[in-house]
Amino acid sequence: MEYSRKEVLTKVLFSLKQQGKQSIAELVFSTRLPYGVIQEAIKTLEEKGLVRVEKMRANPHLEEEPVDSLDIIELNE
Amino acid sequence: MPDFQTLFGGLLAVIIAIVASSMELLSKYQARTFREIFFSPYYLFFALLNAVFCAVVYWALPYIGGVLVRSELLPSLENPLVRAIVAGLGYLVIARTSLLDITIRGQTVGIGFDGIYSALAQYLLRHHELRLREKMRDDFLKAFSRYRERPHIFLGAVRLLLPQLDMEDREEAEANLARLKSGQPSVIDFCFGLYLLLREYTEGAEGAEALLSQMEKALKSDPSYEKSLEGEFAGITSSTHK
Repeated sequence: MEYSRKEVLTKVLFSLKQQGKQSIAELVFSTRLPYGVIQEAIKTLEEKGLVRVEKMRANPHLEEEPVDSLDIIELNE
Repeated sequence: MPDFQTLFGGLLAVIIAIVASSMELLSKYQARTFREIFFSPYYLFFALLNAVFCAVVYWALPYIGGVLVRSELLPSLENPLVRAIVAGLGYLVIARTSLLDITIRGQTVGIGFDGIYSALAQYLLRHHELRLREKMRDDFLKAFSRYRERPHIFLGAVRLLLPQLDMEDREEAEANLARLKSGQPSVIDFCFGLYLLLREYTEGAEGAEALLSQMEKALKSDPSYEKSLEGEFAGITSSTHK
């Protein structure tokens, strides 16, 4: 299924506004958009300065864990 | 001093209002446990907000009854039971009343009771939602720490869950799984998505944990299935995890 860029950005922004900060996996459920599409949208929104990404570590005691942190997307307000 | 019947009617109205407003949360968070939904300070304040509005409407009903019921039914409001039911089920009509609607940045804002009720209710429900999400992430991170060396167990647990669902839930779960798989998700994101799926159809963190440990045991006794699951998981995610 094809999604227009504008439609995707609007859906992601709307979901973040309505439901607050979310990880990409949570956005998949709240927007019903595929993971890859949301990931692209987040990159665009981050470049535009509309959202910021916060890292949530699975284990805060370990220094380097590239696969163990959840990206939490938050609106820049 | 109000008589006993009036006080009893008021209490009944407040109970009806709290139950009616809680129904919305129950239908919204079907996958959450009763404790998660209702043992929260934000929910308690939300219930209190509805109780206060309902109590005010119950008290004012003899004066404003014409707004909620047809004129021929007005005499029935003298019966405390009828008054309680009308206030309990109808207080939102008053709470949602605005004297003036103004549009700010495309959004209509009611000036009057609606403005006060909506602002407070939205604030409380939003924070309630955020709190539930935080709790879900914490639960997931605990589970992920436990299975981080074998993250394919999350995929196996979802595979174990799917046949147990009815047709409608199964289709919905499979559609969500397909969305999660698209675009090579990172290991932790994919596992979180799978965990959200588990939580959607099980009873609390314990239900999801039961499926995960069941799968862990099953994989111990079937190394060939573990190998194929591991391969499938690595093919879906963006990096191998070890």
